[in-house]
Amino acid sequence: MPDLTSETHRPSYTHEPARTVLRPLLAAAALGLVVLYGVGFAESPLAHNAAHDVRHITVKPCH
Amino acid sequence: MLFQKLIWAALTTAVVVGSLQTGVQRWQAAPLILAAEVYEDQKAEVSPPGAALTAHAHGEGQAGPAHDHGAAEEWAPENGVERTGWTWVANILHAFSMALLVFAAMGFWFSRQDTSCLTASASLRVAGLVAAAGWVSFHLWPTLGLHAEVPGMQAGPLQARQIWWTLAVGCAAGACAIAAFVRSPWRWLAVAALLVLPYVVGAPKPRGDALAGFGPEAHASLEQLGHQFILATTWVALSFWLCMGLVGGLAFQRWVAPGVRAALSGTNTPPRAP
Repeated sequence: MPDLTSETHRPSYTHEPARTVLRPLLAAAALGLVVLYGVGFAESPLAHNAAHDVRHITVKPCH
Repeated sequence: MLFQKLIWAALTTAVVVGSLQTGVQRWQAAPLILAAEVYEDQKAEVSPPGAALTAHAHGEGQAGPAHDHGAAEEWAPENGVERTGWTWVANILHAFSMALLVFAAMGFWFSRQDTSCLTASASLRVAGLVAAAGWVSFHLWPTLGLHAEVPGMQAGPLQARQIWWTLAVGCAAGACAIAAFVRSPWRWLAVAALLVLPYVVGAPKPRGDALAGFGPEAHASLEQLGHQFILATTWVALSFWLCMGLVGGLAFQRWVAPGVRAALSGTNTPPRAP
């Protein structure tokens, strides 16, 4: 039974292409899409009326 | 922590770009919307019941609040400072969402490079390229199928247009990503196929005249306002992506690049050729 906690069996990151970079980038992109949905597409009348002019000017389907 | 740096950089970019945009819009596009809404209310008074099912279905035709859909009690900002204030908030949120997507694309680009490539001039150059891709994806490609519309214009069913807009944006962004990241000589075929796809599907169009239900004078005025609005939104979009490229490039270099560099150097990953 190998000792998985030892230094020699620790997973090497050499073959994982910058996972520590990709994960926060993906999270940021996902948050960006959620905010974009809220501003541009949310059906709530409050969101629609507050962002109405921005939806028209940024050419989102509005009505 | 890279995620926090991304959020702060995007927020800073959003406040600057969103505020500038609110000014540009007040000057270029917002007056056209206000002018069109005068006629829109006329339509609510003259059109027969159910005549504008997919159009801009304003409440009971009252001219009180700035914008008022559906039930009369729905909140809508009053014209003037309140409406501009909410437009400013929405502009900042819109710029925040775009900045996050721009930084994610820039970070992905730099994650495939040697960390020594992460210079200030490279940040600005890549930000410019990503902003150009953003303009193509989020403005040019969807608006070729679904033109900018002033309030009062009748359009195709909302949900169908939202789905088509998402398809057009997704295809154009995918095409830009393939052009940037794929090295196969066949990539241009994939780019062309993705760009053509939304237009093979076809954008939902209104049945008949988009300005049906208006009198001849209102019809002519709205038609002219519609043309002016298309031009105005083109300038607004160009200024948005120009600002996003400049401010986003500086913010990325100031806050995100150190985080990307630290994260990359902490992973033993050998730099890969582009």
